[in-house]
Amino acid sequence: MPLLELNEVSKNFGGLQAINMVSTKIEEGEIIGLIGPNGAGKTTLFNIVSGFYKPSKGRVLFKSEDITHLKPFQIASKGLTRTYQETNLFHDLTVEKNILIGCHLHPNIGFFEQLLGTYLAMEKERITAKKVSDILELLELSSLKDELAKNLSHGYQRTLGVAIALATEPSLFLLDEPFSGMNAEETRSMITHLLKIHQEKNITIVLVEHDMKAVMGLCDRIIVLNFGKKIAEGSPDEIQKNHEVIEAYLGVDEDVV
Amino acid sequence: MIKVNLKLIVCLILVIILCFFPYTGNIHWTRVLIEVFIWTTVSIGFRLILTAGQLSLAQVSFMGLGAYTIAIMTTKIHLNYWICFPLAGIFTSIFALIIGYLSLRARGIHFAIATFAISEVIRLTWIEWKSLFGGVGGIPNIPSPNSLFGLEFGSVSSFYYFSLLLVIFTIIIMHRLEISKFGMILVTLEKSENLSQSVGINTYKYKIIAFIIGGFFAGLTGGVFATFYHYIGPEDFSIHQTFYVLIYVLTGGVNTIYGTTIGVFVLIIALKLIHHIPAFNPVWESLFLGCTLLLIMKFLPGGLISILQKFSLDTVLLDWRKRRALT
Amino acid sequence: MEYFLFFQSLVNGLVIATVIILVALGLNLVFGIMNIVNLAHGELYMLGAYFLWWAGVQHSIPYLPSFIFSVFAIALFGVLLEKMFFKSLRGHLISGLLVAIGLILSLQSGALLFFGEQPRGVPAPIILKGVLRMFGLVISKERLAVILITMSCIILMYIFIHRSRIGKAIQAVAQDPDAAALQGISIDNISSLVMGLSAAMAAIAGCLMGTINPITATVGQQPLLEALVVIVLGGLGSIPGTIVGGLIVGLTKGFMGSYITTTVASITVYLILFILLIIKPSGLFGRD
Repeated sequence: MPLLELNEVSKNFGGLQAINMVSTKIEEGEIIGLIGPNGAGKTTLFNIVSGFYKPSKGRVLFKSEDITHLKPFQIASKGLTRTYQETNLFHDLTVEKNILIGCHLHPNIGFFEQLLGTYLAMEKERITAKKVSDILELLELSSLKDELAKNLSHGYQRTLGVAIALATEPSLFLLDEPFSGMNAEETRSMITHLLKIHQEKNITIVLVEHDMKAVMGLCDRIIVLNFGKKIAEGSPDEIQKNHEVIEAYLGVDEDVV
Repeated sequence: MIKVNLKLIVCLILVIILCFFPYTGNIHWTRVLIEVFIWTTVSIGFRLILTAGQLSLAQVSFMGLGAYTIAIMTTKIHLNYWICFPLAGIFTSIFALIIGYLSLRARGIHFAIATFAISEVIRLTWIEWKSLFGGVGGIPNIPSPNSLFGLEFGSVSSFYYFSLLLVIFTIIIMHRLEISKFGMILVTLEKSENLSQSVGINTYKYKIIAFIIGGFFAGLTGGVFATFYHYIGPEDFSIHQTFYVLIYVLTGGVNTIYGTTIGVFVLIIALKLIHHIPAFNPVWESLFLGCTLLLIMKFLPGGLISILQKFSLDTVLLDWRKRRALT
Repeated sequence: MEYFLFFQSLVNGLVIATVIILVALGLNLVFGIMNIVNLAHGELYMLGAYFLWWAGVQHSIPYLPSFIFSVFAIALFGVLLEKMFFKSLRGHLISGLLVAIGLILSLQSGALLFFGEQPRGVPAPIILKGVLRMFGLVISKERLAVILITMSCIILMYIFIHRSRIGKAIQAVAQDPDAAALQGISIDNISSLVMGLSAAMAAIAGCLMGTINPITATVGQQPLLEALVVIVLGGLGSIPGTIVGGLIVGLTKGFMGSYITTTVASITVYLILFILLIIKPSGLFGRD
């Protein structure tokens, strides 16, 4: 049973066909790369899967459940979490508080529970605090825990974005350009973190990326989009040799070909 | 640590001073303070949904709903005030739930205009439905609250302590909400709503809850308003009054509860002082407030509080410590 | 006889419709360029009417010069407001709303103090007094003039935006301010110009209605409300949409006017506005 399934998903905006009959299956434990030239529709596809857009046609199934018409927060509660291309954080809060909010779903502290300060609520708060410090350690953010999110360097901000998403304890991670704006060292660091997350927490990962070295090195399978259509799907080797892909990418990085 | 305790001590001192104020015997300024307490409660309720980035122009209408509930129940059904009072809050909350559920589907400015539209529908209904609401004339002869546990109500002092208790109760609840996770989430809704959704937060639900809480306190305050002034009419809860609440909050400082409180206090006192100017024209009130809003928006968007914060004890201490470190 | 009533309602409806369209176009224009909803637009309408009265009746200046004076004065005032307040708030809808509220209060109170509480009226110029008889129907010259003048303004505005060089610059700024700036178009100048034009349109509408309806400090509220409904109905930035929306609202008012009390009519308008705002997901102002 595939973890995530897209059935002929299409999306048009007015006259523009942004996504055209995209179908694919993603199994548990995979690391999938989603690549394609700018404007191919990768982020749009993410927005559809995570519930921010409704597809014009087609269905999205997660753990065999139809999530096509669910709201983003409902999809998140089912174990599907995404990060954002443009850095999206709780800017005026500290790193620690950012992750704390990310823990909203697990453990879930009810509104009145908290207001009344019940024993159960306090126990949950203790668990949450431990979880936050674990995540801080895993992603090497512990020393920054009291910094305001908006004051972090770009690389750390992207890492924080991943940390917040991690706090939702997902089964599937959609990462939108996790390495964007990072230098070689930051990218290496992020790759290590992602592999750690993949192994230790058993999280399936789908990532959109332009950094071909990272994608080819990290992913088991790659899906290629162009003009909203899936033009290829396969192992990194297969993709690199695929003529349509090379054509779509005129000016592809020489190291890759 | 020092900061928190200091603020608490200042608040307690203020409360003690306020408790003794009626003993000065100055009826006029006691009544002014009652007015300050009433509008502070409404303003703080209004502020809650504002922290989530939503400007609700229906807050004063909710106050009116609470006031009319009390007025109708005490004058037409002759119920005991103390039964009607919580009911005023509950009825208003139910209305807030319905109106919030519908209007929070809209965002930002659409929400603001939608709440404005509803507030006018409510006001015009009060005018049109004469048999129930008394039309333009409103409802007169609203009685003072019945005696409670042997305490008599009717004197200015009794209303003073009633409204003081209400505003203290409101501030405590709002403060607890603000520092709780609920408050933290509300604040994220203005700029990072998508991210909140991504971590599984039902942002719609949080906004509605904030809206209902604001409405609840507005309704209760309306109940106090009705019984204190003994007479209410549709014009008491018009959009102009909502604008005034907005101006109180922004002038004081929208970022904190105590900022809002200071805003209400300063402006209402200022308005009363303007009354004393010879050749006073009631129009001066709105002119003054309108210009105040423009000045604040242009020059001091953080409100009066932002001036105080520049001279706060923390910055003074910080400076002092910095200077010590350098020597 | 029924034919007569129908025709009168039609004329009234057209008067209301064309005036609303003029006002709504002004609002639309400002939003398109500066991303601000100038809710104080109604007050510019009100001030236009008052200035006409002040010049024409208080100081006995003939109608046409007074009219021109009022329109220019309000246009300049609009530019002044833009420079003082709206310029720094471009794009911040809520802040713009707050400033508009401040302006509404200040301008309404200011008008009350300066022009007095009594409703004012401006007599129509002599050539427009009386009625015209055509095809057995009677139409007041004033109302006919209002319809013709507002329609001319709307057409002129359309031609200006779509045919002139400046008009094209305005379109450019509305679509993509950054690209327009790169082309050497001064966003500041365009914004001021647009604000001035918008204010002028409001003033023209106010002056024209000043001879038909009594002028009070709150006379601008109703047109603003109706303009909002029209924009929501017709869609942002769409001139045809605004025209169609204006015709619907105006003609409905014209025909319904005598049958229901004003309070119920107002309640209905507000409810319609409310419903439109919550069901249109992109709301009034589709841009976010």
